[in-house]
Amino acid sequence: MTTVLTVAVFVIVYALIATERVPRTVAALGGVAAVFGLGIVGAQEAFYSRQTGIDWNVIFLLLGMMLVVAGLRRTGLFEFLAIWSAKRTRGRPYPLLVLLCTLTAVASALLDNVTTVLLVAPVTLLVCNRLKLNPVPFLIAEVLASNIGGASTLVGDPPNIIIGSRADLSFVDFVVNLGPIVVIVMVAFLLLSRFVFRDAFTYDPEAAESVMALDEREAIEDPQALIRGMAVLVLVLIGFVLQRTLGIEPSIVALLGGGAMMLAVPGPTDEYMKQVEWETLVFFMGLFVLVGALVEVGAIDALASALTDAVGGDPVAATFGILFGSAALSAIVDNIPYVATMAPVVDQLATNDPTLNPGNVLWWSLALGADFGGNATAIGASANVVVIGIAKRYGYPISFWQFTRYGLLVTVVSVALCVPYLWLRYLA
Amino acid sequence: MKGVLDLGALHQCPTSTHAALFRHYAAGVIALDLAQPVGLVRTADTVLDIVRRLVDEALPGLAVISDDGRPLAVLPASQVLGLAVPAYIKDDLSLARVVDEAAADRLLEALVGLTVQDVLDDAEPDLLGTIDHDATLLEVAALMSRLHVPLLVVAGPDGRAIGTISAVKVLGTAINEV
Repeated sequence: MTTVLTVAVFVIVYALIATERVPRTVAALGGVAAVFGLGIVGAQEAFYSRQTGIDWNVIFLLLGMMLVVAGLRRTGLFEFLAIWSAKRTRGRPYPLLVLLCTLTAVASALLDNVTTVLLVAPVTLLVCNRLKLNPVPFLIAEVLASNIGGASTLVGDPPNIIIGSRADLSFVDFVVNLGPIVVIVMVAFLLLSRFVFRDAFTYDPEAAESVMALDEREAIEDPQALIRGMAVLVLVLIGFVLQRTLGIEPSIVALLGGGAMMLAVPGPTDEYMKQVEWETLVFFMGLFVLVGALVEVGAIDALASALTDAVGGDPVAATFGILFGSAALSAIVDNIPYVATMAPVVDQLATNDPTLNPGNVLWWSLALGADFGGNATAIGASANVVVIGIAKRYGYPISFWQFTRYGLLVTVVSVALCVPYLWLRYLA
Repeated sequence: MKGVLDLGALHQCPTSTHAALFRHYAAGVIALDLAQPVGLVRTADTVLDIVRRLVDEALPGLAVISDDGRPLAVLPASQVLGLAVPAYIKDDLSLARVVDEAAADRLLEALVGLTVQDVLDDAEPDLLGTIDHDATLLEVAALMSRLHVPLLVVAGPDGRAIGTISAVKVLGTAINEV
């Protein structure tokens, strides 16, 4: 009975999140209240258990990186790089899209996707207005690039942070295993963009001159603060790379980086705190408690056992089942709650039958499926929702289907490219 | 708006400005006395026309009224200026710095051909910036202060706009009593 109740609470919360009938954080906290109220879990299980409780490593890794980003934001670095890129292309639309998307993808690999698109969108609007170009294809391409680039590292996309913590995979593990396929997918995406966005590429030499008149150096108000901020970012990245050797958790690296950034790029503390997405952090905590309740009542074990039986000891079926299933489900629901739920399932699957998981292929297929699947629809990933929201606010509304038309195509191509990659590298 | 003042608290207020406002309340200066028939524009007016009026008449803002004379919105001059600034630059002020001087000087080009009606939604006008003709000086000051607007539109007994009151006018009236 308890299991049925827990699953029912979970399904209702998922439905509320997917349909956006209530804010996702409220839905998650409502579910938490239900599992506490029904006595399914208590404080011990929710706050202190490694298996069923809130994953504090994830929470503090996110918090630390949000502070790092908040500091970098103050330096004007992104505006500088984006305008510098636009000037290098001399206002030619396709090279401009390639450079802006590459910048977005690289930035997304190192920072949070949502923040990256928030930083790139305004400068894209400025450049496109100058070039008399419709900014919508550029904004859509950037968010797709952001979700692709974010897949390559531990900190690039929230699902990766959850996977990294659950599977004890390091920053280097992600780069080594997912970096190559992300580069391949990114190249394919940029080539594809030449055709799918071709209507947007109209060149006006006169307008191009107005882009050349922009002065990117003016974006940087305090060069010393920029240098210090960049130094902190480099140290954080070194910390992530050496994290295993140093014997510290990624969350500690991020928290140290966040604190160092606040010192390196001084600003009002409340301004830094405003940049922290507290609602997202609370949403994560709520999800962890809900999924922990499923673990506690044995629902996750049962699902993992059923999946183990279903794949019949075949790692190929398990790998591609997770890849395709994750891509499809992440297109429909936000990939964060999806991965929060699936991570303990995959963990159990790998534990039940280690032969299913050569080279951690199940984890990589979960990450790739969820990250690339997030591109498929307008609601597949948080960055998509954010860009559509700001595009509307700036007077360039993007409809659900307008986004999905491009996103779905890119997802199909991305996931299709993952198949030979995973097969050749881990299963052949 | 009448009858909302806490006169006891006002008596105890130590500042001379409040005392002056209180004397006005007692003496009966009302919004109607301060209203000036300036700064009233209609929805069909072009934005560039209202900009010219702001400049020529040195107004702190404008009140938009409907065709039948009812107040619709208060547009402080800063908000009119904001209409010319793209939202993405307001969100990221560093982008304002990267634009060259020649282009920056042409910021009003974005408003060519637009009417007040076109921009009312974007301007997020404060529909509460209207005050009754019989409101006291303190009521006027309190509403202006709460809404952070430099002028209010005064509505007559029939609900139609009589004129506007500027913050300078309120201060000028109050300072004479100090």
